[in-house]
Amino acid sequence: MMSEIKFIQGAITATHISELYEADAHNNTGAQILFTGKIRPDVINGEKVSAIEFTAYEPMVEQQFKLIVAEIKNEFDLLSIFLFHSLGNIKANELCMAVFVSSAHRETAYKASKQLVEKIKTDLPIWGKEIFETGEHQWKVNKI
Amino acid sequence: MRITVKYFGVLAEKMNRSSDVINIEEGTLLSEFLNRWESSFDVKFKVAVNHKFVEEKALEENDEIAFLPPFSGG
Repeated sequence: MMSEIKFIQGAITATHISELYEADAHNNTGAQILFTGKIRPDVINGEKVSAIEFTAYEPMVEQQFKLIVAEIKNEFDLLSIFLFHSLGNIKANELCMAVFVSSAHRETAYKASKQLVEKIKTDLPIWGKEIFETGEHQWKVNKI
Repeated sequence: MRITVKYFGVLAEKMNRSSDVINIEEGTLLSEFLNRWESSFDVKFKVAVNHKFVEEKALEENDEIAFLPPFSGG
C-alpha cells in the first residue's frame, strides 16, 4: 500500500490532481475516490470570507498522518492513501485539500474516503484563519 | 535545562510570537510546567511533547512542547 502526505504552498491545482492519478496509475486498482476541499465564500455577520490562511505544525502532522494511515489500513483493504493540503493564503473558491484513496472495489474506497477525511479534519494540527474582504479575520472552527 | 515552547493558530497570535526557549528545573513534570500557564489563555488547547500527545512526563533538555488550539484544517 502506498501512502503520502504533501504540503502545497498555495492552492491545489489541476496539476496536483493529475499527480495523484499518476501516482496510482500502475497500482491495479478498480476504484479511485478523490475528495477535494474548497474555500467557501461564507458570509459571517454580513462580512464575506475572501480567503483562508493555513498554517500547520508540520512534523506533528506527519506523525499523526502515519497513525491515521495505520488505522485506516487496518480497517480497509486499500492500495493507496494520498493527502495534499495547502499552506498559506488560499482564496475563496480555490482548492485547499485533496484526499485520494484507491482500492480494488468501490464500496471500500467510498467508506475509507469518508472516514479518512473526517480523521484528517479532527486529528491533524492544521489551522485556518478566515480573512474577510474588510481585512479583518477570525480563526476557523471546523463543523461536523 | 532549556526547553522550547511552540504556539500555534490563535495562541501564536495572542503571544505575538511562535515560540519561546524557557529555562526550567531538571525533572520538572509536564503537569507542573502546565500549571504555570493555566490562566494564561482564554482558549482551550491540547499539549504535545516532541510531536506526540502525552499525558504526563518528566521533561528533558531540548523537549519541544506545543500548545495546540482546536484544529481546523481541510
